[in-house]
Amino acid sequence: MNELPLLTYSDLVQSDRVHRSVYTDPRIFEMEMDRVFGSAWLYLAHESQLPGVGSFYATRMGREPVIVMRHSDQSIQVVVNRCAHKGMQLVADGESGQRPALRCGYHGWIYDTDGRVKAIPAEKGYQGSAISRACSDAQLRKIGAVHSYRGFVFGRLSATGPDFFEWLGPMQSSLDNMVDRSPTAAIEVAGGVIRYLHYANWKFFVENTLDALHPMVVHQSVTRPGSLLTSELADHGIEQPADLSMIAPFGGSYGFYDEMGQRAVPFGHGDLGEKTSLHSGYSTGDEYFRAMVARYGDTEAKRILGVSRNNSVLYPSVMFKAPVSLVRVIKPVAVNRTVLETWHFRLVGAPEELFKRTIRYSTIVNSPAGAVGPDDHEAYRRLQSGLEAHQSNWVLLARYPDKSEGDSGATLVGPGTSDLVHRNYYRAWLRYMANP
Amino acid sequence: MNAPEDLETALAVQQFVAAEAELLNRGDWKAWLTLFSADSVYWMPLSPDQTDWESQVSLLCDDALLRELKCRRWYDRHHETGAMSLKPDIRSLRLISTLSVSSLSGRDGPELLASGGVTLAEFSRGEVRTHFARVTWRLRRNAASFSILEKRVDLLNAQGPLSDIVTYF
Repeated sequence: MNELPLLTYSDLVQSDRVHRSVYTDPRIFEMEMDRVFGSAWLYLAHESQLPGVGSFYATRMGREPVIVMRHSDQSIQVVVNRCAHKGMQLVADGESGQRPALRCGYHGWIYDTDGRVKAIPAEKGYQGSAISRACSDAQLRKIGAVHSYRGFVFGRLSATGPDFFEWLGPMQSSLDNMVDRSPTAAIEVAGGVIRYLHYANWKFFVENTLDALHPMVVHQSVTRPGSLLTSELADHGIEQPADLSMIAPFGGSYGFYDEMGQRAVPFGHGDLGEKTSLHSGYSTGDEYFRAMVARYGDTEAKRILGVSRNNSVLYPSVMFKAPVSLVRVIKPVAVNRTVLETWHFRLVGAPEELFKRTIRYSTIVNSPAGAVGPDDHEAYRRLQSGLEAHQSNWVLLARYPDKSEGDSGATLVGPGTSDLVHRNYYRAWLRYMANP
Repeated sequence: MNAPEDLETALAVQQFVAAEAELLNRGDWKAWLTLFSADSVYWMPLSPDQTDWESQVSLLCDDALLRELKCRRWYDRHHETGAMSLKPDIRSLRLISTLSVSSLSGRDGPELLASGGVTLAEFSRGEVRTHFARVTWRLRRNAASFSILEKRVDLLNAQGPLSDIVTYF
């Protein structure tokens, strides 16, 4: 390893390029866990996963194992998944269920659903020590802050930092759109979660999500045979099957993706598909549209369905795909290892066809056995190994320069294939890293 | 429990699934496609108790159209625009064990059910990735042999986290 710190964070992140070590240096990864994942709001769960008192879900916030729980006063509590006694994880990562209390499987300490210790076995033995049921060291540690917005539960590890709405900013409209697409304004987690292990730095996925310059190259392996098949079927008078129409837009031209537009929002957030998206051409069906009009009125229903943001990133941990009702959660494991989770949502009250489409889309596009995901993953693997090379240090973010950029806190829009959103990621990254 | 099949049929099924595996081992995906009936599905569910692919996400649910698409992607892999995840090349081997065969009456006539443990090894860029699954074939007799109505692959670690699987079991 090189000696640190010959380069400062502001040397690593320049206005139109970043140093390769932000993807490859394990020490930088550790600092990211402290400073980026330690102080940003991270997506944790959806409230439909916590239907009743004692419902819980164990997840991670960067390196920290946490338990998201529904307490007896209906509030959502998030505690560090670590017994106050000897430090054992109370629940396995990814586990969910419903229990009146959490009992440590090692020495039997029992905690209430807000993390307060209820029972310490053979408690007498602590008499005269600093430990009692009343002392803070005997409680499960709470994270810094929790905020649930329209069913999406976010947490922040640090006790201080931006308020949730300050952090969310104009991305509120992207989250709203995910929920407003339901004719009852309610959505629920359903259909299983895909957990895809990537041998690459977490930032490659975040960046790829708003990278409109890659689909027509990386996914040509499936769009090329897909368009050949489509035209062969057309020769027989057969319309393009739905599965092929889901795949076809990945082969869109640079012009198509530029036209789609992008939006860069303070705190590193962004959308791809400010104007149109891969999913713009999806038909909604009469029954669904009527249900939407009944709820929102004609104008508002059309406005909601007209928002077609392909991907919306709430930096650094989550991507929302509102038109397809799915969420992808980014869980860094190590500098070169990341788990991506894909969660699916049912629009409560909408025709079941919409949910089936969500499931079909994810089966085809998000699976580690599919014809799309593994090629993205292979790109990240090769980025990881390419950036290990020492002969050249820089990753370029120079496309579509915009003179109005800066740390002004303004929301900017640009052509879909612009590096604006990428420069915006790194402005936020630098702010987190350099100002802990 | 379904009725166990007679030895002769069981042996014929065993030979059929071994021959199927060998087509994939050799990369002869075109010939492999012909083993399936027109409305068949190659299905890799996400959970072992999954009963459908519409209300639960799957790792794969490939009907004839998607199999044809994947097959063309496979043959294009050396092309400049070919799949990066299939380059520079990939070799694979399937090991089938504990195969049991039984008969059942399907919607459109008698069917055979074969089920066994399968190990899929994929070799690429100096690494072997191994995947383990219980594979269940629903077969129908045809003039020469059998055709596959459904091939269900219950991957041991389907619930993950799991990494790429780029060939068929």
